[in-house]
Amino acid sequence: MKNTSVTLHSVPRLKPHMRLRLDKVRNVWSIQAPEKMFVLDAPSHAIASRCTGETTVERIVEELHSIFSGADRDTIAEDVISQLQDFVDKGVVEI
Amino acid sequence: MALIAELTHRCPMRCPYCSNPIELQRARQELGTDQWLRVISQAADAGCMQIHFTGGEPLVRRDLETLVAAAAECSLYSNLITSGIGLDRTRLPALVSSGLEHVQVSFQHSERDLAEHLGGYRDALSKKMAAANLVREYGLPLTINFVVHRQNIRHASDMIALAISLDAQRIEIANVQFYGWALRNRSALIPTRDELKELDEIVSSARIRLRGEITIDYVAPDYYAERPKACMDGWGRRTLVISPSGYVLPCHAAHSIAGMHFENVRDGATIAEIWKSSQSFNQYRGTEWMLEPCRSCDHRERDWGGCRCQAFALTGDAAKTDPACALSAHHARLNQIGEKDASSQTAAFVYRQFSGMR
Ligand code: SF4
Ligand code: SF4
Repeated sequence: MKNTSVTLHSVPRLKPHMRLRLDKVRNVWSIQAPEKMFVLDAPSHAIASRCTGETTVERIVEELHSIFSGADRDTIAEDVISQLQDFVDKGVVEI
Repeated sequence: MALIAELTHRCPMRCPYCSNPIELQRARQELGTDQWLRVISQAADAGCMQIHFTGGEPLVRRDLETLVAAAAECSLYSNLITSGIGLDRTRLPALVSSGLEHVQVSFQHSERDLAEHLGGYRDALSKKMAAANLVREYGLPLTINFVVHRQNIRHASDMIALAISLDAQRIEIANVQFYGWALRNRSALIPTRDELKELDEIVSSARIRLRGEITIDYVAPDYYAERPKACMDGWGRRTLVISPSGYVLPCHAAHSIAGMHFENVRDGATIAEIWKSSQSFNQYRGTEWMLEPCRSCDHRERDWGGCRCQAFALTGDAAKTDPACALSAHHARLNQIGEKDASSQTAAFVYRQFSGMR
C-alpha cells in the first residue's frame, strides 16, 4: 500500500490517465478518465492544474494565496489539503 | 457526456457472455467513415467530452485511426475498448499518433486453455498479453477488464494478479450482465451466491492492498441484488450509444425494448437534436415517467429506477421498476431464476455468432 495522506510536503501529480479538459459547451473545467468525469469549480481547477509532479502542496498554497488574496493562508492550506486528499482517494491524483 | 461508438459487431472472438444482440448487424449495414466523422464532430458540439470506441472489435475497422484523429481534433477524451486481437506494432503506434489516450483490453481467464475456450479463439491469452504489453510500452494508460461468471469467478485473484503484472492502471471486474448472448447463455454463466460473496471479499481486499496505485472498478451483479444499478447513470443523462448501423440509443441494449422507435444518424437529425428532443431519449429521462414504487421512492434520483431494458426483458414493461430492486413485484422471481440457473451445473454454452453461420 502506498502512503496516501496529503501533507504540505507532498508533491501531487495528476495520474497519467487523467486529463484536464475544458468543456466548451458548458464552459467548465473537468477531469476526464475512463468511466469517470469530474466537474471542477474555479478553486478545484486552480488546484488540479497545479498537480504537475513538480510543485509541493506548500508552494501551491502560496500561489493560491497570492491569487485569492482575500482569504487567509491557513484556511487556504486546509482547503487545498482536503481537496487534494479527495483527489487522491478518488484515484485522480498521486503523491 | 460520453459517446459510446459501437463501430462494428464484427469480432474475431466469440465470447458466450457478449452483450451484443443475438441479431448482429453485418458489415454492409455499418456506417461509413464520413458518417462517423460527422457523428463525432456533432457529438462534441452536443457537449460530449469522451468517446469510447467499442464493438464488436473496433480494430476490425481499418478507418479507426482516422476516427481517433477526428476525436482528438474535437478534444474528445478517447478510449479504445478492445479484445486486443489485432493490436499490433502497426496499429498501435498509428493510433497513438492519431491521439488515442487510453486502452482497455478484455481478458477471459488467466489460464491459457480456459481463456481459449471461453473466448472461442486460439491462443487468445498470449495475444492479449502481447497487446497489453505494447500499450504500456507506448506509454498509454491501460485498463484490464474481466467479465466474471461461473466459469472463471473462482480465479478472480489470479486475474487481478495478471492485471498487476501487466502494469494496468485500472482494473475493471464486471459481473456478466444478462443481455444479448449472455442472456441466452445465462444458465452456464450465472454464479452462485457463495461464489459472489467470495468475489466480494477478493475485490475488497485487493482494493485496500492497491489503494493509491491501481483503481479497481467493480460492476455488481443484478440477479441477487437488493437495489438496482443506476443503469447508464440514468436514461439520457450522460451517455449515448451509437450502434454500428447508426441508431442513437440511450443504452447498449435499448434496441431490445420492443415497440420503441430510435433515431438513426442517417436520417438527418443532429446528435444535439436527438439528445434533446427525440421521443426515445425523453421517454425515460428524469423521474416523471416512473410508476410506483419508484415514483415516491427516496432512491429515484440515485438509481433512476434501474435498467429499462432489464425491466422490459423480465416484466414485459420497460416503465416498471427494475426487478433487481427488492421493492419490485418481480424481484423474488429474479432471485429464483438466479438460484435455479446457478445450480444448473451445466457448462455448455453457445458461442456468439452471426445468424446463418452455424
Ligand atoms: S465480448 Fe467477446 S465476442 Fe463480444 S465484442 Fe467483446 S471480445 Fe468480441
Ligand atoms: S423502487 Fe425504484 S427508485 Fe426505489 S430503489 Fe427500487 S428501483 Fe430505485
